[in-house]
This record gives sequence, C-alpha cells and structure tokens, in this order.
Amino acid sequence: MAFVSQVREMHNSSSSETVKGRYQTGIIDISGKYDKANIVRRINLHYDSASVITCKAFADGELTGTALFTITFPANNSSGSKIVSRRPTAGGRAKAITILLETATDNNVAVIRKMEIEIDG
Amino acid sequence: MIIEVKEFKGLATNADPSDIGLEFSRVNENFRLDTPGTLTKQKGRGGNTDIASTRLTQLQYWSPSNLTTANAVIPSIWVGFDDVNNKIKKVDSDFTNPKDLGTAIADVSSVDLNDHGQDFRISPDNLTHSTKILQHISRKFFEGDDTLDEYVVQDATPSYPSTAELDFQLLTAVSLGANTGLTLADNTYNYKLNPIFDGSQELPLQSTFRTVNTGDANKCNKISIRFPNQSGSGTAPNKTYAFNPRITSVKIYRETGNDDNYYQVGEVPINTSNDTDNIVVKNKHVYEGPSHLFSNTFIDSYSSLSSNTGVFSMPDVTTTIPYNNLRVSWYVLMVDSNGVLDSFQGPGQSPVIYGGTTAIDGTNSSGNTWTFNASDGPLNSSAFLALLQKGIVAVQTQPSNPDYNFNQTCKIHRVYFGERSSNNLPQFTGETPASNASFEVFNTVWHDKALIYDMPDADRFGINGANGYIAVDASNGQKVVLESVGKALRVDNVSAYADGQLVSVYKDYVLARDNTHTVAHFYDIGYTNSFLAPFLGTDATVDTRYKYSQMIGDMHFVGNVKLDPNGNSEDHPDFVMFSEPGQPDIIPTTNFIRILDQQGGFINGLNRILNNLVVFMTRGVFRLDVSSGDPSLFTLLEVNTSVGCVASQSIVNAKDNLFFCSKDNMYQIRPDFTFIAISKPIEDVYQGVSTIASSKVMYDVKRDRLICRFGNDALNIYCYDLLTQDWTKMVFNDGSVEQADFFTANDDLDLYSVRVYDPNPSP
Repeated sequence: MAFVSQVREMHNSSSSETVKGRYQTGIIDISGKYDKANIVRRINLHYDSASVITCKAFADGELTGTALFTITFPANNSSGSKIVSRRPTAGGRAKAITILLETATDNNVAVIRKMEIEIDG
Repeated sequence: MIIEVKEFKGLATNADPSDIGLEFSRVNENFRLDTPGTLTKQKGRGGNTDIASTRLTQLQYWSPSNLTTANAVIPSIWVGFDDVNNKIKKVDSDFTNPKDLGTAIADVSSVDLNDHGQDFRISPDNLTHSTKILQHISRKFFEGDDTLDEYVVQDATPSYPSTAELDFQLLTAVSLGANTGLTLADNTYNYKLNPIFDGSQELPLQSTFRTVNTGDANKCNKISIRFPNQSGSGTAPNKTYAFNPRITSVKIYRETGNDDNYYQVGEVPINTSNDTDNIVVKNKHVYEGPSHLFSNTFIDSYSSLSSNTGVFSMPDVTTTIPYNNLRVSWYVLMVDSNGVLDSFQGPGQSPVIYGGTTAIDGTNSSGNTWTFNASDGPLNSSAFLALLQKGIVAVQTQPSNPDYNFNQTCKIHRVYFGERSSNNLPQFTGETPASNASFEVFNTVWHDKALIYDMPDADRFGINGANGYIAVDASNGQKVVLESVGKALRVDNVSAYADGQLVSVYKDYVLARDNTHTVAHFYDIGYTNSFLAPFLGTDATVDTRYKYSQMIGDMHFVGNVKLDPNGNSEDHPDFVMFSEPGQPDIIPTTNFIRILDQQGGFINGLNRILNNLVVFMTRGVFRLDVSSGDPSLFTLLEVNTSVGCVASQSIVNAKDNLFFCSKDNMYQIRPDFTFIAISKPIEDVYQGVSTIASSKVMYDVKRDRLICRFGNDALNIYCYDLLTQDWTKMVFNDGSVEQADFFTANDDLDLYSVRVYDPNPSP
C-alpha cells in the first residue's frame, strides 16, 4: 500500500470537482389569514445558474419523501431576465411547505438571490 | 398572496419546527451565505497534488520571520505530522519535497504545532518524546568564517554541549604589572562556562569548572574556549553538526575565593560576522614606539603645523654671534621623570623628528644671517607630511637616555645649533625662543612599549579608552592594552610586533582559528561581578516535556507535562508550567501551577484571549490572568465548571474569540469570557457524532468562518460563519475526488483540503 496525502485547493476557480448544491427552507406557513390549506400557484426564482435548478416542495412538516410538486428551473445565466416564474404542474393543498432547491451535480457556480411563493388566498 | 423568502439563512437541524419559519434552512449543502440575501453554490476543489509516501493528519504553514544571512526571505514551508508512520514532516510550500524532521516518534496520535515566528515547536501527545524545535538558522560564526543557512530540527530543550563541541581549554593567570587597574586581587578564582542558545536561552550551570590562583595582585586571568569549526554531515534539516548551531555565545562565570557564588563576568558571542563591535582595529599597519611618535595634535592642528610659517618652516635666522655653520633640527620635547618638560636648550632626552638623519645646514648669506634651503625642510617631505597628517611621525634620532612619555602634553621645538669651528661639534646657539619656534602638542605618545595604529582618525581612542583591549601581533599572540590614547596603545612588551605589520585590536575577546578549531580568548581584567548564574543553589531542572503550549508575551506556557524525563521523572497532566522570560525552552520545575479541577480531568489544550491564558481541561475551562508578567501575581479562575474540551485539535483562536468542541456542543468563548454554544442549531448532528474527540477545526480567515470536521466524518464538513453566525455544510460526494480529512491554509489564506488515501488499493 502506497498511501499519499492528497492536497486540493478549496473553491478553486478551475475546479474539476462536481458538487451539488442543496438548500431547503424552513417550514413556511402558507395557510393565509383564514388558516386553511392553500394551493401554490407559482414559484418565482431570481437566480443565475449555468445548470438547471430543481425546486421541490414538501407539505405540512414533511422534509423528505414524496414531494408536493417539483419544478425545474432552466439554466439561466444569459443576459436576459434573472427572474423566472414557474407554475407547478402537479400539486395539492397544504398549510405549510418547505422548499428544497437543488442544483445539478457539476462544477458550475449558481447564485440564488430571491424566492417568492405565490399562493391562493 | 406572495410569500417572499427575503433572506436565506443558515442551517438549523435541531430547531423547533414551530420556530423555524422562513428564517433557517433544514438542508444546506455546498451553498454559502457569505453574501447577505443570496445563496451561492461554491466551487469545488482544484486539481490534486499528492505528497508521496506520507499519511498526513496535521499540516500547518510556516513562514520563518527571520532572514537568510544574505538578508533574503526564507522560503515558507509546511510542517505536519504523519500519525501512521509517526513522523514529523517538512514539505515545501508547493507541497513537494517531503522530508522527515528527526526520527520516528512512536505511539503518538497527534502533535501540538506552534508557530513562534523565528522557530516552530512540535509537541507530541506522548510524553516519552520531547518537544522538537524547527528553526531556519541563518547565522555566521566566528566573525564570518563559518556560515549556516538552513533548516535545523532538534529537541527544543537545549542540552549541554560535549567537550568536543565546547572545550574549556585553558585558564591561565597573565602578569600585567603593577598599577594597571586591569588586574584581579590575589585570590583563588574558579570559572565555569555556560552556552547560550538562540541568543537568550541558558541552562543551569554545570558542575565542572577550572581554577586558578593568581599569587599576586598584578595578574588578569585568560580563559580560552575551543570550538570545532562549524560543519555538518548528513542532509538538512537532520544534519549532525560539529557543535550545536543554536549556540550563539558562551557566558563566563567566576567564583572568587570558593564562596559558592558564580557571577557572570563576560560573554563571548560566536554568532558573529565581520561587523561586530568586538573588532576595534582590523589588519591595520602598526608603527612601533620608540621609533615612532603619536600626538592627537598632529591630526587636529595639521593645517597650522604644515603652514609655511609654522613650526616646521625654515625662515632666515640672524644670530647674535658669528658661526662657522648653523644647523636646524626639530625635537618633540618630552616630560622628564620629574614631570618637567625637557628644555629646548638641552633637549638631549627627547627625540629628533626631523633634521636628525640628514643634517640641515644653513647658508651664511650676509653677516650673521643664515638662510636655509626649503627643499631640505620637513614641509618639503611628502612622506613626513603624510604621516604627520595621521598623527604619527618617525623618530630620526633617539636619545641614549630617553624620557618616554605616554599621553603627555609636549612641545615640538625647532632648535638651531651653531658650529663655532670645524672641530667643534654643533652646540645649541642660545638664540631667542622667537627664532626657535615651538608648538604645544597634546596626548603625545613616545614610548618603547607603544604601538601606534594607522587607523581612521574618527576611530581614535579616548584617554584610556582602549585599556583592557587585546592587541594581537602578527603571530596571533596577544597583549592586554595597559594604556591608550588616540591611535596609540601601550602594552607590556612589543617584541612580537614589527613596523608595517598588519595587526588587529579587539575589544573583549580574540578568536584564533586553524583548520579544525576556533579558540576564543577572553581576559578577565578584574571585571566586576554581574549577574548570578541562573538557578544557582537550587535543584531545579529545566527539561520539561509538554503536550500543549502557548506563548504570551515573552513567557512560554505549557500544559500536561512530564518533569525531568531523564532524572526523577514525574507526569502531571494537570500542571501548567511557564518558562523563564524570553527563554521559551527553559522551563524550570519550580515554575508550575496546578490546575485543580474538582471534576477531575487533564489539560487538553492551551490558548489565549488577550493576556489571559485559557486552559482547556477535559471537564472545565480555566482562565489564568498573566497580564502582570509576574508569576506571583498570576490569578487563576475556573470560568466554566461544566464544560470542558474533548478535542484538542478543535481549539481555534479567531479574532480573540476561542472555539472548541465539548461533549455537548461546540462553544465560543468571547473576550469577556462568556460561553456561547454555537452548535445549538445543529445540536442533534453534533451530539450524534460518536468520535467528537477526533474533531478538527480551523479558521478560514478569508471567508471568516470555521471549518469543522466533527468526529471522523470526512464527507460532511460543517462551516460556521463568524459574521452571520450561520452554519452551512460542505458535502464532498464526487466519487472521483477524495474527501477531506482536514483543512489548512497558507499565508496567502488559500485554503486546502488534505486527504490520505491509497491510489492503488489492493484488489
């Protein structure tokens, strides 16, 4: 066995290492002023990414498992609008959700500046 | 309705869901929060550099703060530890050229790496091994004859050199004569030598000594110390040297009359280059007395002396009586044994400085008036004037019964002699002093034991300013200077000197060198007692091994120690000990503070907040206020009785806040010594780590965050942002890239991960 100590510079601009970015919000109350289960109409994301960003929602305290809905935000690093709005193609009602944002597993940089959740009510 | 996630916050895996709201994240992998309001997916790592045949578990960058002998910056290096091969390692700044620092240190799981600026100390956590010191020694020895410019590693606590390294070769009483003011009282004198390491570190005196009895009160003592010329065999930093290159000087201690007190009387530096203050005159022409004469006035009044109307001029002379011939000479009239200046009418005991070798006769121009040819005079002699300008004149005629003077006020006198008939020897004419011009000269030296050095005027000695200095002859013999003024010295014998030789004068000591050795000669010319030798009359030993250390000011604090490992060894895992001021490796057994934690435990790390030593026990944290610098005023306080440090490599000082891993949480100690459990938001993760004692934390200065490897988890690395006080996580799950065992940074604050792996595992 010929062990070596491998050294790599962190956050290198010409990195070849692929990493996946995952960010899951806390539990967001979407019950509105009437405290009822609501439908998510749209997710608006202000971002900059060379790869797609997947957005998953989990309902009512769930953090994993079956997503309430999944939205794929396209790669968006052109000079155009950085704000992309997408409607869930499937879904259901929930009083509270968490949103999980996942980047591709690659060596690209992604920046997410703002997220909005449009709901009924 | 639009619900806006206004700001992305840090990881809170343990928060109550009802509290969490929008504020925190439940998952955060590879996103950074260092730009407020945004999530930034960080780039991965760059290409790999493999350090062959090493299994590094620790690595720290070190830029020595000293310079090379050529005043160039010393290349930085990495210092690390391989806990499988039990080797301390040195690696070049680009991660190449790994070298062992010393031999293997068995059964060591980690080391305490301490950057002390000019040196670097490595303390193993197994006290069967001593702390090592790594230095880049950039040093010239023996007035530049030997040079060392390389990394050197050895045990931090200095050890006494062997006789082969430092030999007290000779001690002799040297007779100087009576009333010199440079002698010792008639007594028995014992001398000991003590080497000084690194410019300031000194061991207790050894028992060996040399003794001499002066027998009378007219002697000084000469101490000769022999060193081998410095050289090394092997490869740096593990060379074997002729003598320990950490030795920078040797102190000389004297005991008088066997009174049990050894006082320092001198110190001979050996790490010297050519510009040392010790060299007073280096390889200058010497003029011997009495064939030469010196006066400060020759230098200071040269323009008057060399004037066409001055004392060295030759105006026409009209005598009161007729002569067959009139002859002129110049004398420097000396003070006789009664303190009376010789008269110009009878200058027979004073030297002739011009007109003595070749007669200068006048021409009878008319009547009793005599004219002299200017070309015969001293003002027409470039050799005479050149030497005169340096304060020196050659004596042309020496009297048979001379009045030798040293530092007297004398007089140059132009003296005329008249010849009344051809068989009549010249006699003084008896003319008036007006025609026999004179010039008073000060600090005059004309002596048969005088040496006059052709040295720069600006370097002249004051009156007795060089007494006790050492004049060296062309054969490296030495004479103690008994009197001095200007450029002239008086010694007890000048037979070993000759005019025109290039010789030197030294202030405190003389080095004599041959092909194999260099000998330093030091003269104890009745020096007064200086400091008592350290630790005199005590049983203190200074060899203390330790696991952890921290410098505060000029004091080195160490914890979890083994005392006197080669004698009556004692282990004290709850002792803090401190060094002598300015001597970080001299830690006497008497300098201890026991940290008595009622909950038990041992010292697991040291650090500092401002001028407070923070002692991390396994079951408590103590604060030792050492701001006074006076050990009698140190105050100890247990600042937290319920929280201790379980992972010594988790202790980090960032902006005078300390961070460490305890059993329940990771804590921050603020400068006011309040404790904050910073890992509360991820407490379930933290407390789920079964090997928290293996945790390693480092401070990423550039991003103002702590990078925490909790336990042995090299996949999930937690980061704590000190600005936003948020946790994020780095996840290394790219199967083609190794994970990260620990992190380190260089002086440019570039951050590196290090992973030990086998690139060619057995199938």
